[in-house]
Amino acid sequence: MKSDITLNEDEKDCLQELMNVAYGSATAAITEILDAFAKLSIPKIQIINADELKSYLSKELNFNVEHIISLQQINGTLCGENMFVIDKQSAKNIAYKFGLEEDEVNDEEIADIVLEITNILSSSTISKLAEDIDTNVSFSAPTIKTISSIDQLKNIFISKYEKVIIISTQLKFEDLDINAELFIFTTDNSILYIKEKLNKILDEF
Amino acid sequence: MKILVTDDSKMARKMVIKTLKDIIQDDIEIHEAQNGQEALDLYKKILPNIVFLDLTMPVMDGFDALKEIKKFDNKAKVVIISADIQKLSVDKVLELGAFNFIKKPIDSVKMQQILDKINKRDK
Repeated sequence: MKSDITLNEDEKDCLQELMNVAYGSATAAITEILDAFAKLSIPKIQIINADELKSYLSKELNFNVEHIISLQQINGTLCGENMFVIDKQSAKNIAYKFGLEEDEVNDEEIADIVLEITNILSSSTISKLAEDIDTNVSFSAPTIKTISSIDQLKNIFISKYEKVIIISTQLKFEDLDINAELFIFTTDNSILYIKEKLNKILDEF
Repeated sequence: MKILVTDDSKMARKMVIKTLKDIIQDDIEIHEAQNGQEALDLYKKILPNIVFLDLTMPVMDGFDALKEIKKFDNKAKVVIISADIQKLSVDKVLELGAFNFIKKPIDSVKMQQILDKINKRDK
């Protein structure tokens, strides 16, 4: 069964396009709140062994600075976790954009803002993706953690995986100096479900 | 009628082409490009009647491709099809001279309306 946990080029392309549409509308919601213009990136899709996740993330993220990580469990046929990662300065810049003064920006305020952004961005992206692949999802309350090294990511994930499908996309505001990334990790059975649904969509075209 | 469909996603291009073929009964000649640079090069070569252009693409994005196509041919009819539905993006492409904007996923009614508008203008 594990050998089927791969996506061919067409399946990847299809998932990337679904993700592009889902993330596009979620980002529009955020930019409306922030009254800012986001530069959208092309979503990246990858399936890796779960034990490679740590080294993958250490390559993807710059751990020279403190990052705030918000994790939220996704429940349903599409089961797994989403992880919103933002460096602390970017989170502060969002707080300023929300109208907070420098002396008002403390860890508690930052955590609150990151949780709100996670809720809007992740929930609406994944809900739309779930709708496109004919399923429903529910979310647990997100948890938040500040980390300054990749080792602190150890045991941070709620679910245990064999293989993970990584869907990642960036939130980048050109004029605001805000950079963040959204990762979606799903379990083996979910990957198989996604694969089946992608092929159904591909058959229509 | 020559139509150029530009998107880095093969599936997105197929969706646009299927929608076009469902709507347009006449013979259409469809060309495909995977990024803005390819679209620009193809535009200069084949001079299509309509260009459908995505915004988020590698090599050259849709904003730059639109700018370059309009620079080459001010009368080019470029319709943006994108998931980037930020008001600023929509305003920007219309300012750059896009004929219209269709949000993804494509609504065939909207596509039909835009094709009708283009036809009326051409008559």
